[in-house]
Order: sequence, then structure tokens, then C-alpha cells
Amino acid sequence: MKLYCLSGHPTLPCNVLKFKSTTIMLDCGLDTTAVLHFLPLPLVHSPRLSKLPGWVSKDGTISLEKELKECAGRVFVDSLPEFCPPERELVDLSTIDVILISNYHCMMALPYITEHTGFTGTVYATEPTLQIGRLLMEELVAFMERVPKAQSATCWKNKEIQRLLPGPLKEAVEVWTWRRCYSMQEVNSALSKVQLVGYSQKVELFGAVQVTPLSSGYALGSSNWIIQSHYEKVSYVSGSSLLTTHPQPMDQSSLKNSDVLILTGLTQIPTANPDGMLGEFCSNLAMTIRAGGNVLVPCYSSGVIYDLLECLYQFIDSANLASTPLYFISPVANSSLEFSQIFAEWLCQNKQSKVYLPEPPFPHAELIQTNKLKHYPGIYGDFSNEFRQPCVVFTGHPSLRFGDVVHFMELWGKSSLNTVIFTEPDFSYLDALAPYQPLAMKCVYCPIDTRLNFHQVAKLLKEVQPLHVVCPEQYTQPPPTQSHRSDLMLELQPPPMPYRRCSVLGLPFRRRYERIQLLPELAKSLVPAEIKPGISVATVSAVLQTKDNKHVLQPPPKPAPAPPSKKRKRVIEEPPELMSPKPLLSGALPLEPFLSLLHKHGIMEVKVEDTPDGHILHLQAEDTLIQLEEDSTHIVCDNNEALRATLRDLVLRFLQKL
Amino acid sequence: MCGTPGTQPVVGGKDRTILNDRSVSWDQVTANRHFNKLSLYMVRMDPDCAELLPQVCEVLADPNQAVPDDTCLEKLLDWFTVLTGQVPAQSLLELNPCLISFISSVCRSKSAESSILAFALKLAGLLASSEVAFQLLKERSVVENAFEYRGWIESSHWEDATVRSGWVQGLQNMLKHWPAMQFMLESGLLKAVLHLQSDQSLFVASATNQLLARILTFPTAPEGDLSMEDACMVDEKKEHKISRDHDEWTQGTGEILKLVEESLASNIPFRVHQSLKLIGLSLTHCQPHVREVLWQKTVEAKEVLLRNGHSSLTQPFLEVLRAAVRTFSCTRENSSIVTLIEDMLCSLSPTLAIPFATGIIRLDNCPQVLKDRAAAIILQPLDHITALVGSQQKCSGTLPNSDCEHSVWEEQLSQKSSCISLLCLSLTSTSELLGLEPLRQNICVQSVILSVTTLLKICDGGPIFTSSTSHVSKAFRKLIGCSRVQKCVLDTLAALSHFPGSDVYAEDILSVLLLVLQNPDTDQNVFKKTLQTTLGWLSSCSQSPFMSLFLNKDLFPGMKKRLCDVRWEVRDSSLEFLTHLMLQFQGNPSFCKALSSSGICGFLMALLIDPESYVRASAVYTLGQMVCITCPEKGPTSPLGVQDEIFVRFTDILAQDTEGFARRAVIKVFCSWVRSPPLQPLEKMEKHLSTVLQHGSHDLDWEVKVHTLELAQIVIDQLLESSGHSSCPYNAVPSARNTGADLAESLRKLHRLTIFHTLFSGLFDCDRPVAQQACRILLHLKQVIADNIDDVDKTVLFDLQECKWGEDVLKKHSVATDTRVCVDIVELLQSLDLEGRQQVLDKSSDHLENSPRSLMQDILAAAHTAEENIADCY
Repeated sequence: MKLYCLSGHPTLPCNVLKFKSTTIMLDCGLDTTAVLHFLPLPLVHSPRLSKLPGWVSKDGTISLEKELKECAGRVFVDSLPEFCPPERELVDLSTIDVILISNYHCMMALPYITEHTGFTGTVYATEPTLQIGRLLMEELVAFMERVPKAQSATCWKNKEIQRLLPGPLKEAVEVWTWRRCYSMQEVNSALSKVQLVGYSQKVELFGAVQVTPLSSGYALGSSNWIIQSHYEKVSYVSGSSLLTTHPQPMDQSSLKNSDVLILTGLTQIPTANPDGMLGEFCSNLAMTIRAGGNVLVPCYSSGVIYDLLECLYQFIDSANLASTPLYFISPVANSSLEFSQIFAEWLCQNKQSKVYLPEPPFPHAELIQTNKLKHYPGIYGDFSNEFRQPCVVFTGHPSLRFGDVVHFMELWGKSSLNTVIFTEPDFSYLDALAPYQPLAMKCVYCPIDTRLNFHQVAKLLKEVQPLHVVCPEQYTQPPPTQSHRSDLMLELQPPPMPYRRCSVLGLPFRRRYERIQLLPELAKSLVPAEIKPGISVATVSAVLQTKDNKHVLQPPPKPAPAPPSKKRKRVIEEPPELMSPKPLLSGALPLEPFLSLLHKHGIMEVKVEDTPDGHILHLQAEDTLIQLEEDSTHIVCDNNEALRATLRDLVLRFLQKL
Repeated sequence: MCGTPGTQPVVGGKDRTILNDRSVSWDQVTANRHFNKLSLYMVRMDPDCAELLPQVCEVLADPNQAVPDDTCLEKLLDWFTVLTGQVPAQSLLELNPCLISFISSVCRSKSAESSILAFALKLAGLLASSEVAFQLLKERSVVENAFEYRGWIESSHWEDATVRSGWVQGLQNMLKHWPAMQFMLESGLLKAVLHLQSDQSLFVASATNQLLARILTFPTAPEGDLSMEDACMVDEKKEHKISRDHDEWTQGTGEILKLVEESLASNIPFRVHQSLKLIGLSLTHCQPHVREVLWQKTVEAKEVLLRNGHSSLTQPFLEVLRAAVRTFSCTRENSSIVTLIEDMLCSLSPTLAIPFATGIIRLDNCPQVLKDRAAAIILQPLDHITALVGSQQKCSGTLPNSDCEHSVWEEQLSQKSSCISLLCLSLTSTSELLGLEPLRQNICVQSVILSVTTLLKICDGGPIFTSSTSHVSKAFRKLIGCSRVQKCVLDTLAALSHFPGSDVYAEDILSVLLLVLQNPDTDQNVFKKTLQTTLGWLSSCSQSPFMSLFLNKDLFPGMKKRLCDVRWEVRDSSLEFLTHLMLQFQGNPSFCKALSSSGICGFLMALLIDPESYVRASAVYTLGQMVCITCPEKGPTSPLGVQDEIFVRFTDILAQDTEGFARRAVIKVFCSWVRSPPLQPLEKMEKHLSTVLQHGSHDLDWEVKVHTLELAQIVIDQLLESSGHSSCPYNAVPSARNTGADLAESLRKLHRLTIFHTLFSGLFDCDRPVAQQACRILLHLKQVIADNIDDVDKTVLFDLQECKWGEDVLKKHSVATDTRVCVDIVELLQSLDLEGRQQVLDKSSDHLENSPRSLMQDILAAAHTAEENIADCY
């Protein structure tokens, strides 16, 4: 059993598990942090960005003025942003049988895996994962395609040139693997390979293994996966939460008794408690609005935004901010808000019960009804007519490199009354803000990450007791910025097996058993004999048939009755004669009774010698040796077949025959 | 404000001097009068009670009557205790012969209930506590009857712990004089008492220990607490005489000491425990030779205790040690005590050692060396933290090293649960230590501050720069977010802010406190405490240029965010903090400047409509205080430019807010404004005042009404003061303005402000505190008018038409109303029986229910009811 690690990002994993005869890809997260090296894509022409100076090396020998621009002391690539997809060289992607998706954030690299790679397998995901994943992909494609940029910067990727660039571009790794965003056609093609599954539904893969999604409590339709054969169990835990938010609670008990537990997707901000951050979000928002400023919340169009809106639903009235408009701007804003309301069976109990009242499970429906929340596909059209300040705007992309958020950063960045509140933990907010410097607006970092923290995961692992844990190497040491926090790492016995991008791990357990079926007619023919109280054994003669990873014992074919033929049979054509099997012996040979039996049969002179494994009986008169060992008995007597047979019979008297 | 209106005569400075000169004789006269009055009262109890007492005694003595519950008997006994303090017991007995017959019959009765028996025994002891009454009871054989042990031991009642407890307590009540002691010793009761010390009932055993302690300390034990020196002097002189005069007592104490010795050596934990308790109770007040013996036994017992490791005995043993330190140090430096205590401090487990050490530092007469050692023990956990962060600082005057087993402390600190409790104990005791003058001089404040701030940073999840990988440093990781430790740390930090010269650390400490305030995960109670501590440290550095920077850059922006917090507790604490901050620094120009430019005012206004009523109330207080802050740039007449808006908003709250807290706050703020007008004189506030008074007096909340009356009183005081008729007898009289015309004008003004409406509607309010307050103010007004009746023209007419109470009251008090609806205020005040009304109001509504008469009636009624119930059964 081997694990191939194609992504180094702990919360956007992509691993391949080879188990029995199957090749299973676990998630295919897309690391989008590479976009932070690129200049933002403004929706409307930005004089500021267009006037940025090009980069020339200090000695003037290298000039990449068209590809690289300088802004506030940092260098950015002026090109369509690129992403770092999972590693493609480690495993032949065409050999992958299935892809298991755990949540919609962890499927964004799917088109890079399934398209143009020879992939012929199936993708398994829950319905909300598929639908919301589709929305996120559509949004990403829309963000890219509506600001086309012909230029593609590649010169800077030259190793010799990159070495001379200033940081952090200089430190960027695997730049040659970076890819442009996929197209809508590729998205559709990739998603057409998805087969929907429900929680606890058992899916057989080629008869070899069974995979089952379990609720992970993190997002709508998010799952952990159990991959098991009859005698082995691997759990894949990715993006799970024990907090009471909108999704169904996490199913922990099914993870018990795993041989290996692959642990990914823990919180990215282990020091920030989501409740505290939600409080900070609200108080900063209220503070800004009361001072007459606007609030910009760069966010994904699904996920935490539902919780933020629910929190604001309660807060705005109590903070007397009910008259402040909330705007949600995204090409998929409407679909996202509506989808969230229709996946009732995937929601927590509290929200599920609302459906029977009937009420919409999320209160943002009421915010929309009362005109407190308005959603638009973009800043053009209706939005520009109805836009009123001060207001709160939720829009993407959280990297601040593309999407409508770029426009608001340019619009509001100059006033210190406004605030940008970062709630998504995927990007460093300082890096995200770098191309907007100098910036007058206030910046607040309230990352809300509901995924498991180290304290929770320690409790979970204590509960489910896996034999071995495999995790990204980042979890085996404290975060680099807080090296003193030894509590922010996994401390387990035995220690977890760490992996990094391009690691290949041999998982530390050997398969020892395989299940084989007996056909009824074969079973009928068996004659068990009790060798110990409660233990019966029988000998089986059968033919083993293996098909689709299933093994069946069938009765041996009977010899065909000899056809009435006068023709002299040819020896060669005769079917092999079925010999009745020799009886199997069991039991131990007791020394004293055996000696007395020999005595009775006239063998008087027996010298007994103890050996480490048993005894050697020397029949001196007969010049014969009997070696008695735990699992064998040898009679050594030269040229006296009669004596040997007698001795053999005497030995057999003490043993049971099957 | 001075005095209570109406209770003090209005006297000028001169008269007051005369009064002071004669104060001694006045006191004497008053005391004599009081004594005569008491003695008149003391001759016999309240006639109603005296009448009921025989019936009650009869009911209680009758075994066929229902027994009242224990509470009734306890209350009855309490009443007798008070009574015996006021009335000589013999006169009680003579005037109420039923008492003797009750005690005699109950103690003879074989069928009395155990609770009644216990009551009778305690009562007998109480009555026999005076020597004369004891003789009287002895003559009537009541004492023998009640306490004679042989009779009891043969009775089945003795099986009941209630009876045994009553017997012991009765004896203890009685043992106030030598004849009682003699009786007890001669009758051989001591043997029984010694036996009861290890009674299976803890109540009996504990009461017996008290009784034994009383016997041991008998000749010297003062009624009140003598000072140690007095007690010791008395000891030396009396000892010889007493042992000569009272052989029986000397023998008795010998028997007790023998019992103590046997018990301590018995190795039976309960017996050892009891004897240690007895030593602890008696050591301070007993005779020197007894004390020597007790101490010797204790020292011997220590070996046994430590050898056997009875942890349950440690606490009483430590009590004895504390008593020993209190006792012996006044006579000489007893080195064995010091050594023993030092040993104990080191050998005890840390969680016991710190409370013991805290007890030692509190002692007045304790040797300094011991106190220093105790202080070192208290600071031990903090020293570990200092060592952890690798501080090389050596402070001058540091306490001696505690010389204790470090491994034990480290082990306790390396486990999460014990680490937290140990740190909390240490921090709490350190706070106390910092308040003790001679001790704190030896403390290295720098080191304490370093460890305490480190601890606060650890709790806040901050980095600690340590190379140590010990278990202790790992255990400290578990302290992140531990609010229990945080609260203790903050208390200690608050105590440190009062430390002389601590202001040099203010900048560092405030920056750490700011981290806690900024942490969104800080618990709301910790947040509140942090604000309180911050206030203390800001006060310590109010003159520092750092403060202004801290306020502008860190504190006020942080406060604005907290005023918008999701948790109402945080909003509320922030408002309270701002109010206190303004009170503290309202005269500090840099503070006022920082506040006015912070933009906080707008946030406070928004909180006036907060959904939580506590927050609204706090916002009212804060804004009320903010109005008093003058902005140096905008001039004194325009405090932040929102004063008028605030007035309007406040009156709106009073009229519309659904919760009482905010409305009470508004009235209180108006009180404070009128009491010390912030920026506008009273005249300018008149318009708002009459509205406030009208709303306040018609409020449904009685507290709002009481505060409205307080507001009315303040206005009255100010107006009378300005017209020279102050309610405060100590006010200097401005002679030039002391005219009747001014008084009349003041009355007219009060009328305009609707103050009379407020007062009269308060007077007839159904809530007693409201009516009481209104009555007091009206009585005072009446007095002022009566004193100046010739100067007051009757031009202030009060319209009775709108008053529901008007007609009834006027008829009742026969004011000639005829067809008039307007009555002159002077006439109205004179015709109302305000004095009578005050008497009625001064009695609490349950004054009848709480009287002894009512208690006895209850007992009788219960008995009758029980009789009826029995009849019903047939």
C-alpha cells in the first residue's frame, strides 16, 4: 500500500492511494496562492496600475519591463494569474481509477487532472459538493475570462532570471508547473465524470475495496472517506469541523479502528478561535459603519459567507445597523444563496427542522426579502444604480487579484474611513494587500476557519484510535511564526508519518488475509472433525476461482464418465486420477506412554536423549533412531521396513487423523 | 449633603461651639437617660410577651402537644439571649416563675421530645449564666435537675445527639462564673465532658471541644478579646492565686491535659484531630503552665503526625502553630516554634504551604525572619517563572531562598490541574503580601512584575523566550486562555500598581494589558478585570507623556471596537471603564483632549439604543460623565458639542425605555448634574428638570421614584441654600441673602419645577421607601417654613384637582377645602400629619411578624391547630 503526495498544501490536498489493485486519488485541491505574485486584474482601467514602472535589474542587464512591474517595493508579474496544480509527474494520471472529493474547496484542480491526461476513471462526490464546486469553478473562470489579457509572461520563469529577481518572486517554487485557469468547457467535461454519492453510501470499487463518504461537518456536503477491504481500513479525514455551524455534524464513530488515518485539512489559523473572530468581524464592521465608512469583505461565494450573513442577521438589529445595505456581488451570488436553501438534508438538525415549518433554513432569505441583503452578478448594471453608501460588500476573490473586489479596493482604498475585513484564511492578507500599497483604508484580519484545531484533533484521535496517522509535515512541528507553541502540532505515539509534495510513502501495514467464499455444494461435502472442544477442522479439495478481485472455492470438477468406446484409450488423454488425500495428522506424542508402548512390543533398550526441540529415542538393539520434535517425527532405520512400519503404527496410535 | 432633614436642629456656628463644649455632660445625660429607660424596661419584659410566656411554657412542657419546629425554638432562645443581656436573669426568673417550672418539669419528664429537652437545657444554662440567678436556680434544684449527669446517662434520651448537644451547650452557657465551675467539677461532670470529646456526633464533639477550651481558659478568658499583651500580663499575676484558690479547677485542667496527651499519642485520627482543635482553641488564652504543657504535647505530636502522614491532621496542626505564633511571640522568641514552622513550611505540600504561609504573614506578633520565610514560600511559583524565562536579574533586598525541595514544586507546576491552583494561590497571596508594609520592602518588585507579566502573556498565548524544555514550561502551554489564572494575575497586577515607585513599569505593563484587551478570545470577566487593572496603572502614570500616546494610539481605538462588541458584557464593561476613566482624569487636559478627538462620543450615543438594558444604563452614566469633560479647544460652554442632544435623548429614555435600569440611570445622572452642575447652571436646566421630575414621579419603578425624590431633594437643598435656609446644619449662612422673600421665591420656584407634585405623589405612593423619602423631605420643608413662617407669604397655591389623594386627605386632616381646589402649600404642609405618617412608615411591614410576641403566638397557634387536626381524625 503506497501513498503518493501530489500537493504540499495541507488544506488543499491531492494524494494518490494505491490499495489492493486500485488507484484512488484523494481530493484534488488547487493551490491558488501563486496568484499573489501577479498584478490585480482591474475591471475598469486603473491608471495607477497601468502606470506602474517595469522591473529592470539593478545593474541594468536584465529588463523585463513588460512582464514584471514594481509596486511599493515589490515586483509583480503582469500577466493572467496562474495557479499551481497538483504534481503531474509522480503518478501516471491515466491509471487513476477513482477520485474521491471531500469538499468543494478540494476539487478546484479537477479539470487539470481529468482533462488531457488520459484519465478514464470516475469522480465521487456528494451533490452539494458538485453543485457548489461547479459554482466556484464557474466564478473563477468568469473572473478570468471577463478581463482577458493576451500577454503571457514566461521569461521571468527562466531559472537564471528568476534567481536574480527580488523576493518573494525569487523564492517561488515550481514556477514551470504553474498553469493558467481552465476553460468552462473543461469544467463541464471534468464535472461530467462525477458520480453522486450520499453519506454512508457504500461504493464498491472493482470488488476490491469499498469506499464510503461520512459527514465531516465542515461545509455543505463535505465528507471524510472510509476506504476498506475485508481486513483493512483506511480513513481519509479532510476538512472536518466539530463546531456547530450550518452543515451536518461530523461522523466520528465510523472512523474508529482504522489501520491508517490520513489526516489533512486542519485549521490554517490554529490560534484564532472562530467565535472570537466572528465577534471581531462584527465589532469592526459596526465601528466602521458608525464612523461613516464602508466595509469590504473579500470572500468566496460559498461557505463561511452563509455563517457571516447569519451572524449579521442577528447583529445588525442589535447594533442598530439595520438600515445599512449588505451587497453580495458574484457571478454566482444568486445561485449560491439559493442552492444553500435547497440542500436541507445536508444541513444540521436545527436547520433541517426549519424546512418542515416551512421556513428557509438560512436567515439570509429574510435579509433578501426585507431588502437588507442584495445580490448582483457584477458591479455593472443594477448594482451601480442601487449602490448606496455606507454599505457592506461581500465579494471575491479573497486573493484580491481578480474579481469585483479589485474594483472596490481601488475605489475605497484611499479613505481611512473604510475597512477591508479578511475572513478567508487561505491567503496572507499582507501579501494580498501588497499591490494596493500605499493604502489608507483600515485592514482587519479576522480569519474564520472552522476546521479542526490541534486540541480537537488530539481528542478525536484519542477517541478513534487509529494504528497509524499520516499527515502533512506542517502538522508535525509548530507553525513557523509561532515556534514556541508546542501545543500547535500533532504529538502522537507512534509519531505521525509526515509527507510533503512529491513524497511517496509506504504505508506501514501488511495485508495478511483475503476473504474467500465457499460454494454451498462444496460446503456440504465437508466433514468437520472436532480436534479440540469447539474447534473442528475439515480438509477441502477445491478449485480457486478469482474474478473481479473476488475469490471463490468451487468443488473440483468430477472426472467425466468414460465414454463407451471400443477404441483403445490413449494414456495421454486419461484424466488425472484423483487420489484420495492422505489423512492429516494432529496431536502430540507423549513420551512416557510411547516408551511403555514400545516396551509392550518388545523394544526394551531405549535410550532417551533430550534435545532443544524434543527428544531422540535410540533403540539400541535395533540400531534405530526416533526423532520426536514439536511438529515432526522421524524414524531412521536402515533396511528394516517391517520395523519402520511397526514403529510408524505405534506413533500413529497417539495421533488423530483427519 | 449633610445629615438627614428634620432630624438635626438647624444650628449656627456659635451654638454648635457651645454644644461641643458641653458635649461631655450631654453625653452623660443621654447615657443616664438611656440607662434609666432601659432599667425601666428591664424590670419586666413586654407585657404582651409576659402574658403569653406561661402558656407557651405550658405548651412546650406538655408532651402531648405538637412540638414546634426547631427554628421556633432557636428564635425563642435567641430572644432569651437578648433578654438576658438586657434584663437581670434573676428578675426574669422572679417575674416569670413559669420558666423555672418549665425547665424542672421538662428535665424530669421522661417523655419530652429531645428538641424540647435540648432547648430547656440551653435555656437553663443561659439563665444560670449570671451568678445570682445561678444561686437561685441551684436553690430550687433546677441546676442539678438539668445537668446532673448520672440521671441523664440512665435515660434513653441520652442516646439522642440533640440532647447531648443541648447538655453541653447549656453547660457552656452557664460557665461564666466560679460557682458554676465549682458545681461542674464537684458534680463530676468533667468526666462526662471528657468522654463526649470523642462523641460520634460531630456537633456534640465540636461543642464539647468549645466547652473544654472554656474550662482551660476559664480564669483568663476575657469576654471580649483582650490584646495579647494584656492577656499575658493577666496570666502571670493571676495564675498563682487561681491555682491556690481553686484546687478542683487545677485538677480539672490536669485531667483535660491528660486526655490531650493520651489522644495525641493514640494514633486514632479523630481523637488526635479533636485534641489539636482543642489546643488551637485554648493556647492563646490559657494559663502559662497549661500553655507550656499544651505546646510540649504539640511538639511531640509533630513527630507522630509527620511519621504517620495523616494528611487530614495537617490543617488542625497548622492552626495550632498559628495560635502558638500569636501567643508566644509576645513573651519571648521561642526558637522551637520558629524551627517547627520553618520545617513545616518546607515539608508541606505546596498547596498547603502557601495558605499556611499566608496565615503567617498576616500575624502581627510574628518574628520577621518567619514572615520573610513565609513570603519566600508564597513567591516560590513566581520565582519558577522568572527562572523559566532565564532572568538573570538579581534584586537588592530579595527575600531569602525558601530552601525547599524544588522537585516537589516543579512536579506540582508541571501538572496542569495542580499548576493552575498553585499559581492562583501564589498570586492571591502575593496580592496580599504587596499590601503589607514592612514585608513588601523586601520584595523584588521587578522580579514579581516580570513573572506576573510573563504569566499573563502565556495565558494570552504569547511567546515566552525560554530555552527550557522542562515539564514546567510544557505545562504552562496548557494555561493559554485559562481565565482563572488570568484573573489572579490581574489582581496581583492591580495590587502592584499601588506599589510606590511602580510607575516606571507602567509602560511595559500597559502594553501587556493591551494585548489582553485586544485579544478577541479574552473571556468577558477577564476583560472587565483587565480594564480595572488598566485603570489602576493609568492612574499611576497620569503625568507621564506616555499616557497621552497610549490613549490616542491604543486605548481609545480599542475601546471603540469594544463598544461595538457582540457580547453585551464587553460593551457594558467598556462603558463602565470609560466612566471611571473620565472620573479619574477629568481634570487632566491631555486626557480631555485625547477623549474629545477620539470620536468615542458618537459610539456612546449609538449605545443609548442598545438592545441590552444594562448597556443602555451604562451608556447613560458614561455620557452623563462625558458632559462634565470640557474640551479645551472647544471652550467650556460646549462640551463636545452634544450637551443639548444628550438632554433630549435622556428625557426620551425616561419617557420611553421599557426597562428600569436605563431610567434609573437617567435620574441618577441628573442628580449628579444638579449636585455639581457640569457646564450649565441650574436655571438653564430648569426646562429639562421639570420634565424629568414629572416622568420620574409617574414611573412604575419604585427605584426610579426614589431617585426622583433624591433629585427633588438636591434641587430643594440648592434653592434653600441660595436663599439661606440650608438643610445642612453645618453650612455657613450667607447672611446677606438670608431673607424671607428669598424663601418665598424659592418655594415658588419649587412649585414651578413641579417639585411639590413629585413630593405629594411620593408621599401617598404604595411603595414604602418612596413614601418614606417623600415624607422626610416634606418634614424638612415644613420645618424650614415653620422656622421662617413670618417671612413666607402665602402665594404658592397647590392645585388639588389633579390629585387623587387630595380630597380624602384633606377631609381626614380637616383642611377647609370648601369649594377651593387650590390650597396654600404652607397650610397644606401644616395640616398634613407628616409626623404620624413618618412613624407609620418607619415601621417595617414585617415588624409585627418579627416580634417575640408573634413568635409565641405562632407556637400557641401551631399547638391549637394540631389539636384540631387530632379531633378531625375522629
